[in-house]
Amino acid sequence: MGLLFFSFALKNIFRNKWRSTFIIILLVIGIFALLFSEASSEISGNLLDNVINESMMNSSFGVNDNLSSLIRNQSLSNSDVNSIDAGVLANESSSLDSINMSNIDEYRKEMTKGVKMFFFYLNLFFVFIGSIIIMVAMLKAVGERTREIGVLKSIGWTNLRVSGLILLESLFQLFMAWFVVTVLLLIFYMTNGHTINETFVNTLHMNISIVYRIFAVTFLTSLFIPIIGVILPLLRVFRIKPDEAMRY
Amino acid sequence: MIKVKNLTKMYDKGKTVALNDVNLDIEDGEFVSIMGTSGSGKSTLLNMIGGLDVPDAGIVEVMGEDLSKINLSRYRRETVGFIFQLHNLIPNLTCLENVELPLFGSVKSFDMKNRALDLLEAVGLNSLANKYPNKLSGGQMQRVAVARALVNDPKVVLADEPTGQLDSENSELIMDLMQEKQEETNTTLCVVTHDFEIAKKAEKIIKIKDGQIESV
Ligand SMILES: Nc1ncnc2c1ncn2[C@@H]1O[C@H](COP(=O)(O)OP(=O)(O)O)[C@@H](O)[C@H]1O
Ligand SMILES: [Mg+2]
Repeated sequence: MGLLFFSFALKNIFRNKWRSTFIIILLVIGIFALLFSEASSEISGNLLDNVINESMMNSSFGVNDNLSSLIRNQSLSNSDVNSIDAGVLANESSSLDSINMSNIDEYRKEMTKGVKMFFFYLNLFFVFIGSIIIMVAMLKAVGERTREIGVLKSIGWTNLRVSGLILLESLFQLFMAWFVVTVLLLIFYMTNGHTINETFVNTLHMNISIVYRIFAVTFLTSLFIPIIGVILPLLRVFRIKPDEAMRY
Repeated sequence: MIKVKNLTKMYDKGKTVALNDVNLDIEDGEFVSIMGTSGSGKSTLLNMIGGLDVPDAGIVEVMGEDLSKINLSRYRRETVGFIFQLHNLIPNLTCLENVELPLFGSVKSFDMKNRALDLLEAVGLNSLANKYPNKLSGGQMQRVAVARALVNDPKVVLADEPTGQLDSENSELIMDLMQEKQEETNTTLCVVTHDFEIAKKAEKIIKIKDGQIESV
């Protein structure tokens, strides 16, 4: 019984190649958008770490405080920064220095948190936009199948079962999109692997586990796209009466 | 037994009265045909009996159960078999899978397949079990639809102009199939039709006009 359900979903995908290809392409674009926003979040967080680390080093040796004033300009009213400056001016006292260190540390954390927050919302934004695009595509696809939905309901399929079928179909499409993304990334990695290692691991001091995390987060977030994307089409399934659906 | 009491159904927010205070009794195991001009409310009546839509007023009782008080998808799954003018097969599924669909969720998959094959054999199409509907002729598609309607052993079979798109030879075949099954299993059979030749096969002809029963 589950088998027929699965093969039904798969057949609906494979026997409507154009529609499925279209939706999968949309999903792939959505996943890449998510990937970039997630990666930027990690990279900028990392960059910021490095920049502030450097500025901290420089300030405490009193060689160059360009970077610390740069940070100050970004948030003038920040009392932390003022105390950093105070520390820089009075850098002969070692006890003050250790206080500065912890202040800078806190400041860095704040800053990194802020940047990550920003990208978190950017991520949400992509999920949202992606979902809307998929929703429109699904609405159209479900709309085309109104008659079929009417038939299924008329032979006694419950709303839940019909919805399950549609949800399963979009999850299958998501798996295929994941597959496509993975293959594309692998191809990219195999042709540019050296550069990636250079950039991410050596220059940005990124741990390889962070790279894995980026992918994990992206794939998990992208799970929401088809789920949010089918909500409206499913509401339609629930509302429509079988006889009405079959008049289409 | 099917009991229809004071059934009223309106569309377009009351502008169209499809059924107006209809009363009707159909006995168990009876074969009735419903005749009437286009737009007289035949399909609406059949849809109300089949639980495809709910009336605005009145009651439909099937085997002592008020349809407004029971789970309609379960009722459609277990009690009724529907045959439509257009075969309404699912194009992405083979004939066999189409016939299996109504059993879905209530029968194990192995039994589902056997049961579906039995019915395809009964309509003489087991050789086409793995073909897709678009490879079949109109008459063959309608026979698959008959198999699908009968696969769950329905107590009530409702057919809305099942021969409307068929030539007389295929019409005859479909009607014989349905009648044979009706006699064999003592199901109640309601057939909506324009064709008097078909209607007169029934034990009772119900004539409907402007949403009201004209004669029985
Ligand atoms: N879903 C619907 N929406 C609006 N009007 C409808 C709907 N179904 C039926 N009607 C109207 O109800 C009347 C009866 O329709 P129907 O029962 O289909 O007639 P028949 O099957 O006898 O040709 C017609 O005037 C038709 O236009
Ligand atoms: Mg009709």
